[in-house]
Amino acid sequence: MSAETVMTRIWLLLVGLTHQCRIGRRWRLVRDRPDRTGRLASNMLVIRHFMELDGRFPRLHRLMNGYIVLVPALLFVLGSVFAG
Amino acid sequence: MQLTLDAIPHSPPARSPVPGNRGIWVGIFCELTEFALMFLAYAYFRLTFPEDFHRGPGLLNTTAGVANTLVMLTSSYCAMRAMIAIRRNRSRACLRWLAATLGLGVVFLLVKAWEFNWNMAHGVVGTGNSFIAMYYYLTLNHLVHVVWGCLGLIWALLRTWGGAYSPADHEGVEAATLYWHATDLAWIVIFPLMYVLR
Repeated sequence: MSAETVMTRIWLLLVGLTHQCRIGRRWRLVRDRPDRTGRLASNMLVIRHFMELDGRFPRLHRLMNGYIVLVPALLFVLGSVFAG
Repeated sequence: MQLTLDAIPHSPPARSPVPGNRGIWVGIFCELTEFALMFLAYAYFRLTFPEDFHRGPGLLNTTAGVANTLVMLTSSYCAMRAMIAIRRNRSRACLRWLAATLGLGVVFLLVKAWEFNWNMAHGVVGTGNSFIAMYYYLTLNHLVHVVWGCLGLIWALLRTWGGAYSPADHEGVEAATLYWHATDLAWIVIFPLMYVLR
């Protein structure tokens, strides 16, 4: 499979995830977890395929993936502490 | 014996430890840290004023938000195609893909301007509502980063047009497109936080 085909499929998948998000909102399905999963998947796809942080740059790849997982977790904890 | 520079063996260029260059990664991590602090503010206000954040997304123009998400994703795709083209020594194709990326960046700015205008017409202003204040804080900051990204793309476009890049050396294109992807990444987080989650 050519690089162009892979990128086109990734792009279509990202567009699909965006529409899923919108449809979810319209039908009041998106509340918490499903949206977070879609967002996380979109970010991971952009990091891995568009930024090309895969096997060649494993440290940077881990760092970016850590950002998109740890920052929301940290926000939840700190937000709870401040609000409490 | 005459010593010339040619007699000194050339060492192969060291492989960069990061894609693009170190400078752009400093910029990307500064940008991500800035957004992390804003998301922290978002979490704090969301927990402090839950009613504002429950009603907030309903006040915004979701169509504009979805349109801009699709524009950002498509522009990232075009940026990736520009990278593939320059690696295959197709600088004219690279130029076209970079121009498409930049064009979509301008479309993003135009949609945002239209959306802000729509907001004003519908009374969506930042006073008295913490969600709307957070919305302007986050989206205006992201807009500034899109403008920086557009300037970077213009630089890469002009350098590509001048024949500065080759399959072996295209650091400028790589750096400009990486920054663009990081801006896209930030928008992918902002979009559901502002337009979807209740």
